[in-house]
Amino acid sequence: MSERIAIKGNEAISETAIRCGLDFFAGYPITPQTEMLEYISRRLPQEGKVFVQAESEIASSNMILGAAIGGARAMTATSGPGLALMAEVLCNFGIGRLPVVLVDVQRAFNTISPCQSDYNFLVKGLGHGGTRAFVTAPMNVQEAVDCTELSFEKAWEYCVPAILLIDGMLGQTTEGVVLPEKKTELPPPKYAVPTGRGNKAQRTFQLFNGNYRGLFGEDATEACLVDNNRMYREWVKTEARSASYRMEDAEYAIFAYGSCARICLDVVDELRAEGYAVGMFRPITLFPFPELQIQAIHGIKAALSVEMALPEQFYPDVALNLDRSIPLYSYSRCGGNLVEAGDVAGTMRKIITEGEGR
Amino acid sequence: MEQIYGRTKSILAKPTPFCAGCSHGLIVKSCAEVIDEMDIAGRISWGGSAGCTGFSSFITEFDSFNSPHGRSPTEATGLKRCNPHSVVVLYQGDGDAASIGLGDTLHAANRGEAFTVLCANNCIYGMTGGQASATTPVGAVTKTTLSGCEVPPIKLAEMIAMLERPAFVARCSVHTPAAVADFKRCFKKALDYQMKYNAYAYIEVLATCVTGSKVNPRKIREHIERNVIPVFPLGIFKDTYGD
Repeated sequence: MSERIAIKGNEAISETAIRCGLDFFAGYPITPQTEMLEYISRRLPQEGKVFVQAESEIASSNMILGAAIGGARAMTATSGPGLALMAEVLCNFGIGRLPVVLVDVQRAFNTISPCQSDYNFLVKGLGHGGTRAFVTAPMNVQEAVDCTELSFEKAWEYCVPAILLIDGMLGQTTEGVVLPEKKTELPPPKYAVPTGRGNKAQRTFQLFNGNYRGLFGEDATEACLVDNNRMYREWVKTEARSASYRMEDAEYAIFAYGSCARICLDVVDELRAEGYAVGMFRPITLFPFPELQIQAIHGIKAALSVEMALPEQFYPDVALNLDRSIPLYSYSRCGGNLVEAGDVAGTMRKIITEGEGR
Repeated sequence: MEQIYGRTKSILAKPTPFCAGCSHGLIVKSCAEVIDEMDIAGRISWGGSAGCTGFSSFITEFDSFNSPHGRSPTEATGLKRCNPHSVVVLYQGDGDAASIGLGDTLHAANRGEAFTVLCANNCIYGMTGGQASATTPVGAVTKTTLSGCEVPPIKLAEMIAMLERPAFVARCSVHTPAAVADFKRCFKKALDYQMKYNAYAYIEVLATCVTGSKVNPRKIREHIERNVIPVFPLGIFKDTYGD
């Protein structure tokens, strides 16, 4: 049914996951994620599937690891402090090439207010070892629903962790959305499942039956990382997603993602109303980063990268890919304080009129 | 000529990865013999973890999976809940189950997860060269307790037996043929309870790390009887069904 319903971000993601065939959810309460835990604890057993409230995020992450090894569609959700406890397991998902969906509802340290400061942790290398995940950053609740569907699809297509990076503001926002239909055809796992069903499967992280493609020890690990890296580079060409707002005739550009990009929509409109040709480019996949799309941006007089993190985490990736002849500035709020459209507009105005914005 | 004894089906004809004199070989072989006698090898999902217990899958035919250090019971929770037909056996060391994984061990036991946990307790971290663990007895000299261990050891079997849901909790050893026979009886019961009642069982098996603890393999029996059993008494601490 394509009826439009009003639903909170956290709950929209939860319901979408269930419609995508979620088999197992383990989690731990943490603001601003807790509605997901509560919603799934009620809904998942209604579908005959398994919910476990774990004793910590160390435990919830290890439970979904076991579920994934056992061939189940598994998911967890958390916020920054819980994410840190999952680091070891996220590494195992990355190196072991196991599918899982993780939602990080970001908050700033011990505040419970939104931020974008888990970018490095999730985009630049999970845990120890530097493996990567398929990371998306939706801007509104409908996009969060779509990215949840995409996460399950890509996790199972590539056997990788797929991470939905949102924040407390998006998690708590209620909007009208259309939820997907419940999926009826779900592909089986692409890997042998060691659960005593005659698969003859012995799984030691990235090794199957003691080897990786016939290799052992350091050679096996290196070959696995080479294969993973080849996939990551291919993703840049085939899986990067982004969106532009009023960029067609823009002379100045804002770079932002997620809730920050949503706030900057107003910045673009405010400055356009004053006669400045401002547009916004926003990545939707953070890994793969839309390198090619940003590299193709030319003819801009100056750009401003906006994020809710300090030291900047997103800005270096923009700087790495944007034409070096375009002056790039950065603007940050952090610690749980949101960027405000008026302040960003003021900064952009200063860049445009005085060439100063840092 | 009729063959009346041989390598059991689920033990592979490969060189052992364990040190000469290590208890792991004997424990794993005993487990495989029980599983083959029960003819359930095809249903087994065998969970090894960090440390020398992780080598157990090298010499066994069972489907197997690995966990981060200490997390076997937690990982197995996810795997077994989604695969209830699997017969899940976890093979952990004392460092794994009683030190880093103490929380995982107790919470899984408390939830009464439907799997069998074996803890090969040799009172040391063997793989890393012989450092003290949470079960090292007071006074024992190890690489990190050169003047003798000061902290009292954790007694997992006794702790787990206090919880409501574990159906079978025992401490066994393999230092004599009689002890091996007792262990095999306990392990069979644990597997029966898993399959019949979806019940949790914990069996601690006293072991010796000849390399880490510097015990002469010829003196293992004496070492276990004199130094270990007084601290970790053998016995069945809980048997809910009494089958």
